[in-house]
Amino acid sequence: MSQKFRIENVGLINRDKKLSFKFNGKTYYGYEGDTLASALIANGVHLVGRSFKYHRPRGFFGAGVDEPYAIVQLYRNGETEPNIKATEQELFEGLEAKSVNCWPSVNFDIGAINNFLKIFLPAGFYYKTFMWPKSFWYWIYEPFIRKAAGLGVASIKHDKERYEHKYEYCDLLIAGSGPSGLASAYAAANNGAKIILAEDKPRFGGSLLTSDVNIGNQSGKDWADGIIAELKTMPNVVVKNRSQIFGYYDHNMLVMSENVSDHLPKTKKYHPNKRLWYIRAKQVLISSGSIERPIVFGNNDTPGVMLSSAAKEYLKVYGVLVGRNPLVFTNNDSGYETAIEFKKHGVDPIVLDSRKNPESEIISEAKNLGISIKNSYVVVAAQGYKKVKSADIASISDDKKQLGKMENVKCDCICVSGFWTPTIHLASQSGNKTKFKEEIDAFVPGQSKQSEITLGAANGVFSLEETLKTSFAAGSELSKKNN
Amino acid sequence: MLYIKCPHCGMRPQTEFSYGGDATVKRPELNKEISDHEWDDFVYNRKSLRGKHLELWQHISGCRQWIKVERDTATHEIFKTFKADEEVA
Ligand SMILES: [Zn+2]
Repeated sequence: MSQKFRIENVGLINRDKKLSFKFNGKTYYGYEGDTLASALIANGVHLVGRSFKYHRPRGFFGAGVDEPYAIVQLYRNGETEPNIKATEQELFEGLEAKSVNCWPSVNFDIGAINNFLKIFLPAGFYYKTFMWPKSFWYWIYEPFIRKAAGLGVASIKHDKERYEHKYEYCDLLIAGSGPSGLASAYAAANNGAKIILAEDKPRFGGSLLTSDVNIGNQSGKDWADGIIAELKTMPNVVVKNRSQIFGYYDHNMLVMSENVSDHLPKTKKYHPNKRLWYIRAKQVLISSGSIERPIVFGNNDTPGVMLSSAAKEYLKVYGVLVGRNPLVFTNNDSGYETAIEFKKHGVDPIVLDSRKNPESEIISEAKNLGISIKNSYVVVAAQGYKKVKSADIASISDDKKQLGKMENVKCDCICVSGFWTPTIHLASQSGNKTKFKEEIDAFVPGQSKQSEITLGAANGVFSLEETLKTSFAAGSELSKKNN
Repeated sequence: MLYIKCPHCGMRPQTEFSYGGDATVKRPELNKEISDHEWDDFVYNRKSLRGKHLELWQHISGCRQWIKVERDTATHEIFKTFKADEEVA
């Protein structure tokens, strides 16, 4: 199988190392540095699963931890693990994965009949119908329902892997290695503070990996690489990738899960599979960024509908096109970044912008590149069952209440951008009551409850310049507090 | 997870301690006629306070000393810790 949707000379993957893997029994190829999701999309595979109740086809919607659909059963070194996100699982030689929640196969799924019978299947149908006679439950109903409805299958074998626990303390714990995390870590590290910088993805840099920005005279990515390289040489700094801070407890105690081995075909001798860190931090700096919002329209769960930021990440990080005939549906400027990336790589996107007359630098750039833009237009519904084939679009009135005449345009993917939602879970867990920020229509952290501060996109600040400035100042300030 | 300052050892995580209950309970005086009601209060009856509370903890995985901890039961804020024999105003 060739990787039809991979484009040359783009991305951060290692093209010298080709990896083979199996999905639903079929062999495909990808490269070192791929995720299972990016490798599948490179091979043109978009159908990865089925929804829970109606068994509707499911594809990829995000490119990381935000993925709601692409959940697989993973097989690695004779073990199996259920409910792994394909967008988070890094590819390794010999990886095997299967779709969950479909039977007998993802292409022909008996449960999908529910999709057509749904008016007869009210909420609670399963509980009410499969009750009588009682003796049927154990032998007939339950095994059938489990097979037809279940998600992944847990392993019943003894787990041979080792899992480590580790206690650590620091002056400043930084969650997220985007521009905000890096700037604050750099400032604080140079003041001699003991720092832990945690990044949940394999690569450091956050949004800098996918945005076309310059910091000083360097590209954003080169700047990030330079800072990470320098931080790694400093004895007072611990830099961790594949490590997700997932809990914020009392008295500034945080818990981090470090993925040590799951990106390798086999755990190395004397290495744990995962390591759980209990970190007591004097100060916590939350720079967890933001997640793009979807937009609601008919059939927006069809494979091929995805976040525009995810489409951009597949292109810029993995050199993968999510489609050759993309439609970008946006209500803000972010969608244009994705459209421009498509255009730069020889693909002609159509942009639908729900705004009437938006003006900005990036929109002018898109226009200059000759990208076709339809203002005051929205997607009404996606068409296509197992993959987007076209979209019903219509103009929308200024008060957003009236739709114009419906048209149908051919496309093979719809990239949606409904603006950004700050990732504020950690701040909330610390006891911080959130507040609503009108300008961005989103919640941001309010008054700090513990010794914690949230910066950058996680705090609703989307300007790179301001993020760098405030983060650098905060890192410097916080590290002085401790000395 | 709480961070408790043992007066003997310094700041230690909660997992090193075990909880010992209300530190303000006084044992009824010896050599005195004591009613069942008084015994009952001493042995069983405790207020479940919301707010500042003086309690006993034992630094079981450390110096093994009993200590007193003044803690807010709602916010988990720890105001001060004392040695077991210290009088707390
Ligand atoms: Zn002690």
